[in-house]
Amino acid sequence: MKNYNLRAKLGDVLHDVYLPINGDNDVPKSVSCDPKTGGQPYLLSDSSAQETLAPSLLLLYGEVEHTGYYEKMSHRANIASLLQYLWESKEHRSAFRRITQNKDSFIKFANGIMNEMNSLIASVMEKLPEIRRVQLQMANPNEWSTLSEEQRETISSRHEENELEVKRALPLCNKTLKMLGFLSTDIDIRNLFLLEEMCPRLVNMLLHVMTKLIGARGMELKVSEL
Amino acid sequence: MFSLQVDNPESYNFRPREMLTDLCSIFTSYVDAQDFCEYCAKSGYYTDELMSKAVKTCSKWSLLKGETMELFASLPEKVLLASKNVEDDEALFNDAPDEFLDPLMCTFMKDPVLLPTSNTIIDRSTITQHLLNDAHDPFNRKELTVDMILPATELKERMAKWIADKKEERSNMMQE
Repeated sequence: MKNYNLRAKLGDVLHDVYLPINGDNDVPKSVSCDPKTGGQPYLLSDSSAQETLAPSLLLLYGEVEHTGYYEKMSHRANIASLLQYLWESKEHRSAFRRITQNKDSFIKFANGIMNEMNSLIASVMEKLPEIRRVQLQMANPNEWSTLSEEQRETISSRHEENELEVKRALPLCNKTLKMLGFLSTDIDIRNLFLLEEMCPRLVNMLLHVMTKLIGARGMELKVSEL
Repeated sequence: MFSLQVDNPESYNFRPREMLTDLCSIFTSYVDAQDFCEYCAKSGYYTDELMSKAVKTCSKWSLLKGETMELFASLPEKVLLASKNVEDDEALFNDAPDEFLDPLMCTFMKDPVLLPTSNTIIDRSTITQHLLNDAHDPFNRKELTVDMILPATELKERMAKWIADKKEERSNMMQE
């Protein structure tokens, strides 16, 4: 299958149809589970999936790069969820073992994650204050009504764009952090992240995210969730 | 404590608390790795203030618990210790000849290699990092891949000898 859009779709299908514990999943068990193994999900029971799925998903993570800006993010979020599910099941552990033996492709995958986290977090943390500003502006009838219709339209459409961007980027941010978390608990994978060509990038990315989250330069505002 | 606020954060999947928890638990996996701490010390993003704030926040909101929290809390001190090592090394390399320095990073090279495309000598870690994102020689934009770079054996040997002499000189000075 040469078409990367189709390959990317395959990841989405695996996620939507075969991944159990999927929040809004209304796929019946008769589709996603294997009756021959007493109703175990196919993702776990199928022997070729056990062998090849995890390494293939890592490759796919890199390959969806060209599917388009927003598409890429949702494909990757789905792949990250799948990988987390596979990681947590003992059936796939040996496949993850094999991944660490292919140093080059793992480094490519890891490098992609670093680049992506850096750009996601920068974009999200730039857009959120802007979203906040417009939310306040719209909530203030005195200010909002003094604007011309044209101004309001420009602000609204920009606001919607920002919202779309953030809504795509944040789920991937969240899932990528979780993925780095569970991958880092494995000593072999940790050693790959500690390689000289990878470690400084990992450190800078983690500290970059931390700076954006709690750094002193940010505007000192409170999140209503807290 | 967090620097951002929006209405309905959940509608954007914005969960700063959870993000910080996940982020800090990644750090705990690497606390015991000396290299990791040294790179923290060298990073332009690292400040003791930032990391101490992260530790305080995690403990105040119980984001990390038990052993994980203890591990994370030990990080600022580990980085501080590592930064002393980094400073010592930098002091040692202060008067190193220019040819021992990486032409892009201006740091003492750990493993000098030759780029056949531009005949430049550069540190292996610098060029491998560069090639991850861009398969070209940074000095003349010719195509370059990792398998083409060659070890700069002769220079590496001279550098090793220079360090050995330097260390001996330093230990002699300390004894006097």
